[in-house]
Amino acid sequence: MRLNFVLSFVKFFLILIIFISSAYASEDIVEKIEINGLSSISKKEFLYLMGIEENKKLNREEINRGIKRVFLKNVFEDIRVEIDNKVLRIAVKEKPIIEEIKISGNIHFSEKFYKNLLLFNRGDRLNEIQLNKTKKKIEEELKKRGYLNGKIRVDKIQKGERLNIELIVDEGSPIIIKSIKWEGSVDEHIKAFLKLQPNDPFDKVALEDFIQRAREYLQKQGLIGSDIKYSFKDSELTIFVQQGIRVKVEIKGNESLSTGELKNIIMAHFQDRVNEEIIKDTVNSLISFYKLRGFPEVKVVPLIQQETSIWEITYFIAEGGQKIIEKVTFDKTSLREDELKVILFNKEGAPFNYDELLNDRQRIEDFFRSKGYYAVKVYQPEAKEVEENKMHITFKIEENKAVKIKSIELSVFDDFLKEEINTLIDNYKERLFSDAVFFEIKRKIREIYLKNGYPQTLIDGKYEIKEDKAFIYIHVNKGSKKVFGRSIILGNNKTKTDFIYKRLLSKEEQPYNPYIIDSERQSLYKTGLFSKIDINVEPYDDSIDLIYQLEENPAGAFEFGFGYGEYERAKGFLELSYINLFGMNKQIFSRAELSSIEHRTYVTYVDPWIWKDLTYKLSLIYEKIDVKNIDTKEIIYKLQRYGLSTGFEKKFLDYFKAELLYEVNYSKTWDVMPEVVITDKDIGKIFISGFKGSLIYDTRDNVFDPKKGWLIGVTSKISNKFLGSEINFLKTSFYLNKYTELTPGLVLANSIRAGWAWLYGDSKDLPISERYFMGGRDTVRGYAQNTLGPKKDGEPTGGNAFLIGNIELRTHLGKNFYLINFLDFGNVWSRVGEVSLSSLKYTAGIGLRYKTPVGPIRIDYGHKLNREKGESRGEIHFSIGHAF
Amino acid sequence: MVRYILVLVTLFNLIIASHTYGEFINRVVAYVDNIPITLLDFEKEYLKMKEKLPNIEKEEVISTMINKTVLLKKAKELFLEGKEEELLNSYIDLKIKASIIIPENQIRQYYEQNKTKINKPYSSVRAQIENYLYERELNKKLKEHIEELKEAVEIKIVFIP
Repeated sequence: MRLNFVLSFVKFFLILIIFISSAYASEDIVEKIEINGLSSISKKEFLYLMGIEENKKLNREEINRGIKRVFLKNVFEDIRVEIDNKVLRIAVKEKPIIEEIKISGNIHFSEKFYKNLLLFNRGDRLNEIQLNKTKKKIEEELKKRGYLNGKIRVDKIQKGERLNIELIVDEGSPIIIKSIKWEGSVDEHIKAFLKLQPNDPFDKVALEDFIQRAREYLQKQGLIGSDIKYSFKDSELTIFVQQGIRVKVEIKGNESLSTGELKNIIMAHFQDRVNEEIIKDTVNSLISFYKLRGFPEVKVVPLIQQETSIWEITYFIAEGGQKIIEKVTFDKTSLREDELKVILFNKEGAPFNYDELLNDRQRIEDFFRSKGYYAVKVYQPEAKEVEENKMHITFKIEENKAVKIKSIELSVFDDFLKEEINTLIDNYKERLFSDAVFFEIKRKIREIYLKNGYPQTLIDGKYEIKEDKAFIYIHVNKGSKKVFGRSIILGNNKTKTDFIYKRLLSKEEQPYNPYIIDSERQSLYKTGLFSKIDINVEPYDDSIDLIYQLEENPAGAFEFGFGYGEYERAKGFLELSYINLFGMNKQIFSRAELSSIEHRTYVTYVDPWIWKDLTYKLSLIYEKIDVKNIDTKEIIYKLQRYGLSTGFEKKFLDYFKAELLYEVNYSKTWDVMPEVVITDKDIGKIFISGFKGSLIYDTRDNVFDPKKGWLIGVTSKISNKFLGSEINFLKTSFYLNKYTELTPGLVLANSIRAGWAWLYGDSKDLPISERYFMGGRDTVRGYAQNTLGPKKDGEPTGGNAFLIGNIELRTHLGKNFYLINFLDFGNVWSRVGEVSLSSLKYTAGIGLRYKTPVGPIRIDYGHKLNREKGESRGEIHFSIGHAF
Repeated sequence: MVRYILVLVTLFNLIIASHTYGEFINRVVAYVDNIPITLLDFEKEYLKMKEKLPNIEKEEVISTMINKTVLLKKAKELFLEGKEEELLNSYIDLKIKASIIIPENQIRQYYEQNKTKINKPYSSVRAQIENYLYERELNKKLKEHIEELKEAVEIKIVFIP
């Protein structure tokens, strides 16, 4: 009795312990996390994906989910999670990294041959499947080349996380061709394509290559359906060649359509065979082609003359008249006729197409329905030949009353979002009804739910039409609410995961909204680092994880080019850039330009994300220029300049960009022509330091070759002795460019540019390096480079103010060629007060452009309209890119 | 009585040990490419299958889970949607069932071969035979398909619980 009591007590005590311990376990707080064996990703990312944090409750389901998230990285073999005394211990085993790949035992094939067949590279994680596939692939390739017993053995030597792989090749002995026998119609030219000879291995790859080349050769000879086969028996290779049929096509009776385009249609059918069925198809194709061009009565009859190796086919064509639609009328319509005419296939002035007439009737009916005329009836159209080959088409329309939306009844489980939906619905009441509007209402209601975390929302709907009223009934089943879960980044080999997370929105635990994903995708593409971004979802009961599968662009680029300009003569450039420094999208660009008169080198460092989306820039520049008179080739002055600029750039409101830079320039001017000297600062060394601010509005559709949009900018630079500058000045300039596509292939481009400098304090004149020089390829094209404005003894001195205007018509000539007509005007003045519109210089001209991916290559001739005595009639300019 | 005490003592030791040496939370049992089969998932599946098939071995459960993972992976690659069971069914419908046709002569041939055992007129058992042959073909094709899929993915059993 007593023992039983003790045992019962012990039993009760143990059950209590079990209960307390299990309750305690479920309430475990993780005070510390220890991870062993992790090297492929950061601890921060690992813990984020695992869904665990220190001083948070342990959640077994979340850890289970976390292991699956982390495994998506495809670098792990095992993850073990244990808790001991509130310390969570995670042991990670990663797949080893392939450090070295060695090929040995190869005799007949080079190491390169085998390495080209590898499905893995150095630096990859070990993947047994890829290894086995590589082994099979190599063995198959050896077999194809006659080495039937070729075998590969794979040795793996692992040193910690690193792995060396050795592929030990046993090529074995090949099957040898003892003799080659040719059958069929073979000539020496075909035989020459075969690279195999007796005593070579029986190489199927070489034979397939031979067949390919021989087929191409026979096709070029105009032979259709040639057959080339081979067999290998008792070490003898037999090659059989059967040459195809030569087809001669002649077309007679075609007056309106060219023989060339008709022959192309016919020959497209004779790709690898010729027979009577195919000839029938060619006839049908010709008839369809004619009908499409307004020949409804066309007849085509083929005459076939067949010999063993030649088929001569003559197509006799009776075209009939080409029917042109003179007029299209609509019998009673309240809609605008021009709106209806746009949707028709059979348009006024176009060839008449009988086959499309019924489709046109349907198009009109659909159009009316989309405008609310739900009960519209469009009768069979009437097509009459009013004069010879001139057609009139009449569509008889019975519109009936337009249907309006009378009511939209909504049935939802609860009132959540009902207010927003009611506002939406109210906007549709009394609007014209159509199927498209009905689907639009459903789509917009669903969109409201999707944006608020209900991705499984189902919308059922129906409508009733009673006379001219539509009654719509919509039922919403919103499903369960989901929130954003974790974001898993995959495929980023060079870009830091941390950088990518910073580009994504902070959305965890927020209602799941698929539209946010699109904006994130755009934001990632904007970095220029990725060529492909797939965002997949992994749904759970309450949340949705997002998996970002990325493909990276090459981050580095090397470019070079050379050309010829009328001012610089021979010129060239070299450019080196890398846009993913430290895996953080920081960028460096360096460029060197060299020509007969100038040498310029600059290096620019850009951090587009120094603070949120604020861009930081730092540029260093060195240039040495010999400024010459283009006509006399005399040196006007020589300039050497070292410059540094640093500052910030910010894009906002989609089309605006603001920039604030601090600039310093140290320049030296010498060999200055006495005629152009205005101030003592024009010769010798000068240090200029100041701030430059710019605001740009850019809506151009294409930066290199705009067809529409605006480019407006204003720039101001202030230089002051307090900043260490030797002179005080304020320079301001603006430009306003407008591009308009008048018709497809015709663009009107207008530009107005102006600038002025204001000197203050004890500074009286701008140094030559800061003065405005205009005239030439990008400004007023009737003048040579930098020759406009005030002159001393015939040499331009530059000035403190300028005004330039351009009007340009860009006409597409076909292919990549454009014809340009332009009118330029402008001038440079010594002082703002001297600006006078009566002293503007006008030039008109013509140019040719050849479009390339980096802008057009151009040649322009500008003719002076108000030429002065002693001036040339005009100037020719070669350059790259548009003038503005 | 002694046995009773022993059980209680063992239980006590287990509780003490579990708190002394730390508690095992989860780990990877096997993986298919980058999809792990965790211990937690395995335990749930094992209990479920054990109820239906008491003699089932752990290795068999892992093998079944691997097959299921391979099929689910392929189903997701085809952009099929739904919960696991729906995904599997859609995939099998699309890839396997759509290609199975039991011709009349095969049903007749089976009937003729097993006529004595069946001992019923053809018309009364035709549907049953067709159903049986269909299921047999489905199992065979599914098995072949899974084996084919398994050759293209990396599968590793990390440990057997």
